[in-house]
Amino acid sequence: MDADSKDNKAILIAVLSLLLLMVGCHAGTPRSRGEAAPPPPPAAPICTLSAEPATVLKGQSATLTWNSQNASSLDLEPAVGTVQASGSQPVTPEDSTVYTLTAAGPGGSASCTARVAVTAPPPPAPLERGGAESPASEWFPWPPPQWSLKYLVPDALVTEGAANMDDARQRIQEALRRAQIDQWSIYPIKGGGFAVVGRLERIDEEGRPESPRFSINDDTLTKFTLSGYLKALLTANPGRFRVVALLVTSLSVNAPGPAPTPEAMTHLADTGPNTLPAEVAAQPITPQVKCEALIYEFYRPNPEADPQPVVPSALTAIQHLAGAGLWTEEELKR
Amino acid sequence: MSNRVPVPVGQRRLATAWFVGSGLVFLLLVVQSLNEHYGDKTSEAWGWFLPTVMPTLTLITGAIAVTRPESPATVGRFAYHLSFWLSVFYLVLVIATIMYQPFAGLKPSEMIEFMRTSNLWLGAVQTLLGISLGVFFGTRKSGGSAG
Repeated sequence: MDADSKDNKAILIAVLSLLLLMVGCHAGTPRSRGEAAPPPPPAAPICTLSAEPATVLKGQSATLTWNSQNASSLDLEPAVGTVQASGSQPVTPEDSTVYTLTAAGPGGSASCTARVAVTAPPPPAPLERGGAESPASEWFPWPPPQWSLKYLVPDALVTEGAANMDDARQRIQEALRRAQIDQWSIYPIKGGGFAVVGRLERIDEEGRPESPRFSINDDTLTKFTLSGYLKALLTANPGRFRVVALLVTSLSVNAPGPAPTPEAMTHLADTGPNTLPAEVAAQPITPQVKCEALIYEFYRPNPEADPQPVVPSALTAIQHLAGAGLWTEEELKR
Repeated sequence: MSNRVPVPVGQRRLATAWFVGSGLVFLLLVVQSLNEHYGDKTSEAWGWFLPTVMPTLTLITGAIAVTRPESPATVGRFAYHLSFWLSVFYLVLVIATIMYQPFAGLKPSEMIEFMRTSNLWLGAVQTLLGISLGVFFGTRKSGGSAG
């Protein structure tokens, strides 16, 4: 046996020892040696944590429920602190919060999370009930919530040639159908006219709808595109969202109200009536009646952040309205 | 066909598989970290990656460093193939753990939780891989010509 061979044997023994040491140390790796087995290592802690309901209105409580095994201490953060091995606790977070339960024991530590999403209370509806003159419904908030962009839609697209508000409503509904916005609400405007609020949609940086179009919380890649996949894989997965409200009224839309939340706009779009009260539908279209498009844009830097209003939008109103598919750029520039 | 493989050749192929596979995951994590893909949980993501690939990568690199390229030593073909394909399988699982995430629409904290869960099956495969690498190095014969 020459010196080289001895060297190699020594290296081999060293390498194998290192390998066994590393494999043995790997987290979660079972060990199995037949003879003289060392005492079994302490079991690793296991924990579960859930929130019910997962979404609450601001000021309401959710209940956190947890369970654990093999843990000697449990810490539930934020705001709760040390807890027992299992139990439940009501919480009233101010904003959307991810709660983390950290279980520590002789076998290591484990953590589990649950998110409580806090949504703003619904907009101050009903602003006024219709009564005999306005038999239906709620009014559109006035002044309108702070918009990202405002655009005067050319008369030719909505009001020109329309005999009454119902004709204008039909043209707007046709535009919504073209844009494949299948959910919207119509509110009368106190002072004359009406507003159509379209469903909240996810958009890309150019203002075009992005998949999943009508979901704010679900980031699952439902429609595979290479660019969409790479964006979801490599970036913080930010989200842009938009609500378009089309107001047909003779009132001037100048002073905005408070900034809205996406939840408030979603509530406005999803829970209002789909028809105009008869007396609003019959209101004549005078030359003073215009169609104003209010665009509400929201931005969420990552999936765990709350979307915030974007004021003003980096895009133009025409990019938004054409991107949504309501009208073409040519029609809007006419 | 010889039933033995020259040690330097086997080691080079194993090293290539490991450097390509773990290099790909490394680059993915660098880009994801720069883009804040994991939010405030970037260190947790790296905390998953490093113990997942570094021990074996260090072992293979160290073994290459102490083996002369002209070494006549050989290892069993079966041990070599087992180590190589288990390595490939393991690295595919590691890469898949990251590349699957967009399909599940996971939030950063859920991604980290999923990575931790993946240690269950990665640990099992890594144990098998460790044994096969032990056999790979253990069946080495000095000076034996292939064939």
